[in-house]
Amino acid sequence: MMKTLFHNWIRNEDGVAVLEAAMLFPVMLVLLMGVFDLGNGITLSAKTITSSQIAADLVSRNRSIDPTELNDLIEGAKLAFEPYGTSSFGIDIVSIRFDEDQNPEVLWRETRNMPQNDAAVASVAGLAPEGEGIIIVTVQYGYEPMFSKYFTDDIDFSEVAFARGRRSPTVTWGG
Amino acid sequence: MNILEECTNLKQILKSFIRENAAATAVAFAMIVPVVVGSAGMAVDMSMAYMVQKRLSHALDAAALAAAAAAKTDDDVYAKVNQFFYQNYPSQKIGATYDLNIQIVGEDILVSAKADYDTSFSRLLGVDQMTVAANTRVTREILGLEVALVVDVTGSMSTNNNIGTLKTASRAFLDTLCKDEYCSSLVKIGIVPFSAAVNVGPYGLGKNPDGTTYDTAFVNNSYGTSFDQSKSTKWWGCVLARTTPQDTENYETGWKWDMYRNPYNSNKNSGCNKSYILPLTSSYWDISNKIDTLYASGNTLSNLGMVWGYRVLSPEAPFREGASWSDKKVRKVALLMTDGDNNIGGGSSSYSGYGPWTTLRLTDHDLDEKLAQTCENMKEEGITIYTVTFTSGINNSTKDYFRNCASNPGNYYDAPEQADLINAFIAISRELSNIHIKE
Repeated sequence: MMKTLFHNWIRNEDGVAVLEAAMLFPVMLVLLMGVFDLGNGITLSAKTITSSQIAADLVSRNRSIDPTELNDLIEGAKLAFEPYGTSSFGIDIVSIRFDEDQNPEVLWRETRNMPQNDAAVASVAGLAPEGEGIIIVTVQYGYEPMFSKYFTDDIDFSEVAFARGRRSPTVTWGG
Repeated sequence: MNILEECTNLKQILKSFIRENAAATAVAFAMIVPVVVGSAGMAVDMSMAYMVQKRLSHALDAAALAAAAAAKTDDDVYAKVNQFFYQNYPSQKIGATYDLNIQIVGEDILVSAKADYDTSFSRLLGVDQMTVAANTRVTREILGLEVALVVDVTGSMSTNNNIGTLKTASRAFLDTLCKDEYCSSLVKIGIVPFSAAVNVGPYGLGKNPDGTTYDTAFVNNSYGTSFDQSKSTKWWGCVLARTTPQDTENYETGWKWDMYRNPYNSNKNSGCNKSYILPLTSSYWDISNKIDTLYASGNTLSNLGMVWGYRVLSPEAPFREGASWSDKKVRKVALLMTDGDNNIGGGSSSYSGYGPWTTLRLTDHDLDEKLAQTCENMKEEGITIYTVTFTSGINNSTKDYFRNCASNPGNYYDAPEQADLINAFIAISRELSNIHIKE
């Protein structure tokens, strides 16, 4: 008796469509959310590149820079992330000068909301003769995916831009 | 149909969907999956490629700007572009770069590169790679300016106080390039007064005006004398030209000049104008004071003035203040101004920068040709030349020589009146201040 009931239930074709919809809906949704998060991620990654280059370029236009100007240009670098929030925005700006052994010597440094990127500074060793300089800007942006955050941690984008002073070999601190 | 009926209708549709057993959704979904996944994947790949392109163009911009700002020679440009490009676009980043191409066209630096992005999703549709390209063009900024003012201080300049007008014009020139009595270290001005000879001053014997050491002496002191303009028995600073063609050339190792010693006069300096050369300097007051002390006397040998302007601008001895010839960041400019036609004088007791006239028997035309040759040599080295003929007494042949000497006809100014001379100097200095970046 039970067997026949079970057998009948298995063979019952009523409601197959809604069942399929219920099964497929999550797949579609995951796909959609995945593309959404991925798209945002790529956009933010590109914005991180832009932001670091903007900051490096703005610094390189000066012979020397004071705290007000520096503040303004950091705000400028943040604007690159519009319309996304900037609470996870971090920046590390270093102006270096090469010493007689062609090692980078930090003239000034401004780091906000992120650890200092010493690897980037070390990476330029030997690049230019004494007296030359480079501006190194690292921008970091922590991206919290809207949906995928339940499966993954924040994704940190980090980009480094290198620029050379346009008007003088080094950009000095005029604060 | 009222609302109630509508609801009943919907209810029925829903009921029939729930009881529906045709199982069409899965089939339809299976059919559209490749399309949905494919287009989503394409969209992702496209944005990735866009990102690669963004990085590529930023890296190119940074590299070209760095090269434009830092590089002095063409080789420097290639090196700097490479350095900054790969620094900004390290190989571990997505997208393999290749075809970094650097071109230098005049003052412009053109850089282009490509990058291949290996697709993640589109490869299912047979697209394995997307190639993006970017290019940028940056104009090199002229940062430095070196000007030699080669000015006529011959006797005729005392007429109508033309020498006073020259001083006014030169001061206006100086004040345009050096605002507020301060010259940027990027601007250097030298002054070469000329008449029948050029006076190299104490520098000839290796001394600065204050007596300290300047550089190696470049004047033969076979008379064992010293530089002293207050005594007629001493040397006032004028020198003789070297033999042809060296009197139109810059410098070669070992060159020295002979002192101007006029044998036809008890004062061996007779005919030597005491106004001597000011080597290139950024000191506003040194330039200003030199302008103040310009003094008019002697004949006109403009070719000698010009060739010393050449030597003042050049990085080689005897005056070594000039930037290297290969330094594209510095523009070298000579401004030659005269108030008369070349005039060697001539006669049995005539003496000039070419020694006793009877030795070479040069004509005024010879001097014109020597001037033309000097201008050619200077232009070949990349010096920009401006020329000014002053007063209404200049003949057409001299005007032609001066017009041809200028880098282009627009760089030649004819100034018949005193006001014209001042205007010409102001026009030239404005033009020059536009080509270098102000601090």
